[in-house]
Amino acid sequence: MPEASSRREAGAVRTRVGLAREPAVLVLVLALTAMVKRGYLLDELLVAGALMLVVADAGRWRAAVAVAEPGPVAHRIAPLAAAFPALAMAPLPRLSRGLDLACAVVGLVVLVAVWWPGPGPDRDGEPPAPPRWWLWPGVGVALCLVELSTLVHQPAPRVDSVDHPSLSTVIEPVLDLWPSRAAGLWLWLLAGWWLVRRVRAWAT
Amino acid sequence: MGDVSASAQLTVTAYAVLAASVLLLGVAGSRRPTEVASIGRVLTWALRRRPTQLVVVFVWWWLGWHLVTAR
Repeated sequence: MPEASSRREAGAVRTRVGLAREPAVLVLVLALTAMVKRGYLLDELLVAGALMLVVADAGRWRAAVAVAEPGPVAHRIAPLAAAFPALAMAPLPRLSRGLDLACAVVGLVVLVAVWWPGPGPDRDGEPPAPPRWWLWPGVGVALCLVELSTLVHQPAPRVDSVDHPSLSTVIEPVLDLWPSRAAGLWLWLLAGWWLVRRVRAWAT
Repeated sequence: MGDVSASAQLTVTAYAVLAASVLLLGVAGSRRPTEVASIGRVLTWALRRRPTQLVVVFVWWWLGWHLVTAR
């Protein structure tokens, strides 16, 4: 019994150290700070919830890293399967509870699909980094900085600045048209499908 | 007024430059995969870490919901 207890304690220490070094936690803390500044309670709760999920899940993964390269993602059925919900959701008014609910259902389905298989087996070592991988996160960070500048220049929380429009303000007129909203939803659902397949591939 | 539209133009230009960068990286990733990794490869590599999986899924969902519902 003392052996099991010391193993548990070692696991807990590994989890705490892993979380302290985890860039995902830092990203969520920064996002939460931005959401507090934006002043929209639902966003604050969503980011805080994601942070709590990562912390809760840390007890399961204990800083484990997947090494095996996952198999190819099957694409054949996905475009057709994603078209039905996209076409069903697109005609719903943008500020309606129905569209909120439909997005929440999609999110819950994906969350369960990602949560269920768990973090995968413990493996030693890390897979090699892809060439110039940092270029992609570099573009992402640059976009976040431009968005941060628009947030700082807002005259009031949730009121866009005319001088510094956010990305959502710029593409708003496009998404107001239901065909482009259907196309956007279709791409979004396909991306979700791809993510689920990748995560589940790592877990096996 | 001139200053106002110049700031807005600068912001929109920044978005356009970033969109062009994504396009260029996408083309480079498919034509020279040994020099520049595609977004799929980088994401697959990043997803080896469990917290990254959860954060990427959350960011994906939040972006879709935020843009489509205009919340």
